[in-house]
Amino acid sequence: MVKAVEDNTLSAMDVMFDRRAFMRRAALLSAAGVVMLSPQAWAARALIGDPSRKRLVLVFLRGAIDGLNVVVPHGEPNYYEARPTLAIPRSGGEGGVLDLDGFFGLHPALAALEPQWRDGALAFVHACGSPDRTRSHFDAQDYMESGTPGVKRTADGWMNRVQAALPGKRGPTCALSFGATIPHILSGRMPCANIPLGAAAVRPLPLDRPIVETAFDRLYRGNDPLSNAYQEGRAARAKLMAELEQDMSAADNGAPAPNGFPNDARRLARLIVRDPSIRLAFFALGGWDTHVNQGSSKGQLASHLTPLGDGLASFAAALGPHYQETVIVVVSEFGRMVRENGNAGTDHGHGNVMWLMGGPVRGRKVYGAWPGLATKQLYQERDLAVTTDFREPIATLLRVHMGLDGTQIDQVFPSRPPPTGQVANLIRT
Amino acid sequence: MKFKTPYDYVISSMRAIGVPDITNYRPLFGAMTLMGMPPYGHETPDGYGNTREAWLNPEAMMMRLSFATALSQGHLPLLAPPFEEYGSGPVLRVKSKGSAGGAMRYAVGSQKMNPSSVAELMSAIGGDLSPNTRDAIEAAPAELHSALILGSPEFMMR
Repeated sequence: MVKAVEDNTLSAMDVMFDRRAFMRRAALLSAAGVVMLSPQAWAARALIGDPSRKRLVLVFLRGAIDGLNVVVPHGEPNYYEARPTLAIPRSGGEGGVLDLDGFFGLHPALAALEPQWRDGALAFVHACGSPDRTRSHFDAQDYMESGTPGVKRTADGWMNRVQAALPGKRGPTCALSFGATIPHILSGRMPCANIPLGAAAVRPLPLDRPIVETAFDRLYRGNDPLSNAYQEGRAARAKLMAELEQDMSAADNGAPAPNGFPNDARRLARLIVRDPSIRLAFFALGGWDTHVNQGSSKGQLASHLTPLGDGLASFAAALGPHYQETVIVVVSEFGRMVRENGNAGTDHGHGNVMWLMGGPVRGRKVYGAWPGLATKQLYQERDLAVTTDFREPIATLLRVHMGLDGTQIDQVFPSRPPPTGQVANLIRT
Repeated sequence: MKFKTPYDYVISSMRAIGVPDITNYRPLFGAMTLMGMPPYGHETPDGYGNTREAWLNPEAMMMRLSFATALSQGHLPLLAPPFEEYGSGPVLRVKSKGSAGGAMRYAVGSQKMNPSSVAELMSAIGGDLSPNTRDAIEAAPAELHSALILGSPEFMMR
């Protein structure tokens, strides 16, 4: 309760307003037999619906994940013909897909996400991707991060442009990137704080020593651009370090993260619970470039999918009520060839599947026009075609969930193709 | 006056502090990467920008000042054997107290500044320091004087 009121991104008016809205909602909830468990839950519930709390978490799978083995078209005979050793078996048998809608099924390593699908909080957009024809990881990632496929000269990233357009107040920890350095997608004129992965997150910088900090605080106490950057950087860092240290001692008992993404994702969830002014977050995960020994229900791809699915599921659980204001998008730069290669793997392709998960997602549906896998239906007679530009579902999300208007979305994704209408209902209003 | 690019900043810091021939460039590559300018790492054909807008942001400022502090206190292993492994973490992060050998490893190639070289450093950067910068240096302990000079607004500009 105290935390929400102390949070300087909330004005007293916001709190008063939300308190009244909360009382009405609480009356309805208690009539339905729902019991409020803790002061934290009170604070969190009171903030639901506040437009300055809506957030987007983007998980970038670098290396081009094989989307056809993630959301498997098990109703398509061509799929089984093209992949004699790598295909995921039809549902029911040993290692079979987890059926979604009778035509598509989920890779069994993603069983942790099945409850999300059942609850209607998980959706996919299949045959989704970039219109650019490149099969270079670097170019394709760069285009997906700049948001301008085919245009090499875009200096900033589209999530940075989203940050610039966000309605509502912006705190020092508005945008977070998990990894060694800030990626292109969050680069630009808006600031972004960086959190190294695993145990390195709480390793101090030389600047964190109090004696050093005091000296530089004095040097940069002015109101010039350098001092402003310094002061904003210190504020973000102080906030994050305090929360991360509390997090390490409380939740992990000081132990370093043993299994990567699930721990980092839970860390982000706990940061959001303490500081709901986090609006944008970014993770990059590697290990998807499966040219050799990709595996099927088990094997290389499966062993990378398991921590991803577990991490996303535990992220959702750890967010608690904040899940209702959070949308997670999982993307990859392009897909992989339909036909398996001679090394029990798959080579660079074109179309892929986008994942969307969260309270606001109108889930339990695979969106997008399915182009089919017969040779004449394939892009360049070898790859899944792209029928939905990756910018279209994200634009829907930015409009309905994040509250951007048409002009702002045009600034985030300039000169994108006209919408197909396939994903217009992807997000609940 | 222009705001230095990360490359300018790292190279001019090295010149100002007068480090002898280094054997291990990785801390410098790491610092430029953390400041947003990985050497040879620009994805697009037009190369890195050279405006303040391109390089001044809160996170990069934290990295510049951490680099200035680590360099001036001799905590960067610049004279270590080349290609020695320092672990996967970014080089500007100091090892936690408990980790065995961390401090010793960073002391390899120490080129700690002594107070007399602060005067040389001030002459190396040329021009006058603002009253605010001089005030901040005077208020700080001597061991931080060179860090404050390298981290000063004057040294950020060229």
